[in-house]
Amino acid sequence: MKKNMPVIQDRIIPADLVPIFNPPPLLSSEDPKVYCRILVGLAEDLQPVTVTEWLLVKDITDLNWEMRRMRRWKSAVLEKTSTIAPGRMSDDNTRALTAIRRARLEYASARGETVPPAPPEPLPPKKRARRQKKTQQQIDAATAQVFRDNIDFCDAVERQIATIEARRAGLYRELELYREGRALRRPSNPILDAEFSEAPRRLALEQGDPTGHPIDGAEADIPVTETHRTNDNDSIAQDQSQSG
Amino acid sequence: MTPSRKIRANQANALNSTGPRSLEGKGRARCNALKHGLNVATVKDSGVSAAIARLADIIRKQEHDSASDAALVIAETSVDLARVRDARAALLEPLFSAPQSGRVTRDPSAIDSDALHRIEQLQKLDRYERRALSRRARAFCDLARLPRSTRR
Repeated sequence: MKKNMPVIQDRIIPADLVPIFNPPPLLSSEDPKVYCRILVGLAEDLQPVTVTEWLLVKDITDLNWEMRRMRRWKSAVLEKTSTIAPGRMSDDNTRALTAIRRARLEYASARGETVPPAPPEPLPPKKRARRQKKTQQQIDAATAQVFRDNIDFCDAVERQIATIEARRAGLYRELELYREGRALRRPSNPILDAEFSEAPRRLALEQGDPTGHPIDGAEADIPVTETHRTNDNDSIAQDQSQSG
Repeated sequence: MTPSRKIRANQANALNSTGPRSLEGKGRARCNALKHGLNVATVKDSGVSAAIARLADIIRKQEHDSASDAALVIAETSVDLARVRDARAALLEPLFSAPQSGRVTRDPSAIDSDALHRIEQLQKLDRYERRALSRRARAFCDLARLPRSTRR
């Protein structure tokens, strides 16, 4: 089921673009607020200005999210295939034993086997430490086994993550190049605009018109100089021909 | 050459064929072979073509007056990318929406093969994303090649 963005995103994204960002490509179990927080963080970091930059920021957010999802998937599969979830074990012996007991119960009931008897709760410290060490070793062995069983899957997921990461790096590069190009054109445009409007007016003033309105055909009579070039290559060629 | 008797028999049999007859049925049958529809050009979809045109117009106004082609490609590929990501999410939806509480609810090897199958499907979807991204990159190059004097 698709979920729309929370309100916070509408405030930072230009109104024209909100339909493009909604709904985000999320699963029903994923929280749109977390996605939104990542998007807001990236937007604050990258400071998009134009629509194109916003589109790139959205793509980077999506790819970040997909990488996160792939990692979640991998850990979910590993956890699902293990009888003991190592991440959930605590240092406290009692809680660890309870977790093991619960896992055993689930495992046995899933296989239709009889439930083993519960171990006695209070244990002497030495015995408790020994059992804890043994449990830890079992957990490590089980984790290694699970990883070995799912090595193909883990490899495929890691390759997928690497592809997404490469794509994300490409998008960052694209954003950088786009900005460089934009930054280059910004200072040059006012100068070129001024040259176009200024040259015919000056010529009209020189030819005796006090209002400065360009005379008909004035533009055609203006000698081609460096001040009213239309194209860099044309002007360079013109300069060369004049100097030659 | 096919004898006329056989042709007549074929034609008579064809009249008894059990294809869909109503418009609704025909509409459903038309989608039988549809997997994800990512090969179809987005502009042909009337539902999204208006959104693409609107986005392209915004990009053109911000970038360049004569950049309508590049702006259209950028808008179109953005929608394409969104479609690919939706397809990827739809592929993973059944896995993530399943209850995670019971740790051993299925045979581990079955989980593994299902996961591998889905990974393969994801890899197949990759090409559509790659194609959209390279199309957009080319559109950016076209945008950069526009004459400098009229750029904003």
